[in-house]
Amino acid sequence: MIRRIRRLLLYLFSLFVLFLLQISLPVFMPFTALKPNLLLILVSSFGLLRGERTGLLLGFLSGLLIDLLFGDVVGLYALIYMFLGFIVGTFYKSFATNRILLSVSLIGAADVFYGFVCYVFLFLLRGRFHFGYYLWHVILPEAVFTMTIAVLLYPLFLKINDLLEERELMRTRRFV
Amino acid sequence: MNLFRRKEGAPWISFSIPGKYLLFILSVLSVALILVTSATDVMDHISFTALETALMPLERGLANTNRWLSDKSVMIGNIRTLQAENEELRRKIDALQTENIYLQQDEYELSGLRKLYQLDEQYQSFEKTGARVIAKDAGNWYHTFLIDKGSDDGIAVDMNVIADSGLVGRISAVGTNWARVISIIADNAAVSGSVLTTSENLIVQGSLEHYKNGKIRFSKLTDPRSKASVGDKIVTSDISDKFLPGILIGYISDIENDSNNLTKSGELIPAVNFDHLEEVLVIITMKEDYRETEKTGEAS
Repeated sequence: MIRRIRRLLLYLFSLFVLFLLQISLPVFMPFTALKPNLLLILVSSFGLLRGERTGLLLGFLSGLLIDLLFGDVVGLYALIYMFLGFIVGTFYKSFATNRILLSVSLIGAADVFYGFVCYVFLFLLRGRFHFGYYLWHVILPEAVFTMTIAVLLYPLFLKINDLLEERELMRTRRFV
Repeated sequence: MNLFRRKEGAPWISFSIPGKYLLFILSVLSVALILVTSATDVMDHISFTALETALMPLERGLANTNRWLSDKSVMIGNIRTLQAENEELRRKIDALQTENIYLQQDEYELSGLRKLYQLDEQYQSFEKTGARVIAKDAGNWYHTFLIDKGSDDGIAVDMNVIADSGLVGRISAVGTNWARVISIIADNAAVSGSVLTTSENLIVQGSLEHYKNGKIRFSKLTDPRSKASVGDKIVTSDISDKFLPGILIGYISDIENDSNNLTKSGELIPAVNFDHLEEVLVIITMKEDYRETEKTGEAS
């Protein structure tokens, strides 16, 4: 029970901090500058480290937070982030999560996928067909930026996850 | 069917639902939410007490810290330049004071003429309240942002937001102590405007593609005698149902004929510098009220 609460607290705390950072970024940099996607790093990192269920629940929560404050409709970002967390989470079993560059490139791929889905729902449906432009000027730069930040953030999440797993393992061993 | 089977080492719920079922349930929930919120305007008025009490003070703190830090760094770095500047400014004050006297004389003349023509200084007479930008949209697609005033300060949906005496956008959602502003450079925003010199109407359409060059696109300008030219001011038009008339949007930088030869389109440079948007003014007067006062004014 304690370990579950500890994990829940970890997820909620990092979600809260990263969300705050994400929406405060324009206060620290020019207002219209391109931003990395910190919440996507969080969702796909724990999706990779803990599996699809953690990924999709974290994704749903992150998306819902964005929706509540910024969405024209509530539920769209929740849906996008949730599927993202789920898809990344399917790599959980078959992936060497301690290979940092591999994981970071997967996070980059996830961001490109996220950008593409956002383009389809937010722009293509309103008749903006110039996909090449958005690919080169929004989606790819954002993915590169996100990967740069992920190189710093992912090892941190990996370390925290390893520590927690080690503790959980010790606890179960003690009972056996 | 073991939908609610207990799984060993389950992450957080003791009765763990398999991922795929959870995904399905939450997807249905999300789609339902999307349908409900897009069909109604529930979200514009709901307040999220937990979010507001938890997030907004922190947001404000972060914004203030940054402002304080940049103030201090400027202070330390610029003492020398400030001294030199001070000298220069003193000299300028002398010049300006003489100029001011002349201008005051002009002002007398102007107000007299205004009375003659019964012109009202509407633009300046709007009731305004200042607000700080505390957060911006999480993604890179739209340009919406949050300000630190909400319904408690008398802010309501569809109020106009200005800065540097130019149009920034309008309020799109309100909480008790925060409000969301959709800016005119956002790709999903459009404003009905008119060219100040010719009073011809046009549509100013925010566009991500054009804003990368610092410009906004306009279209559907009917200008049969080709009177509008580069550098002309574009202001919000009378026919807009959400924006008050006569607020400066920007200056025409590029204008060309459409292929139908009836209308024109082009680009304008916004009057507001969106890159350094820290404080904005919200105009408390709304278009609806403004129309009503205008009508009663005419009646009396």
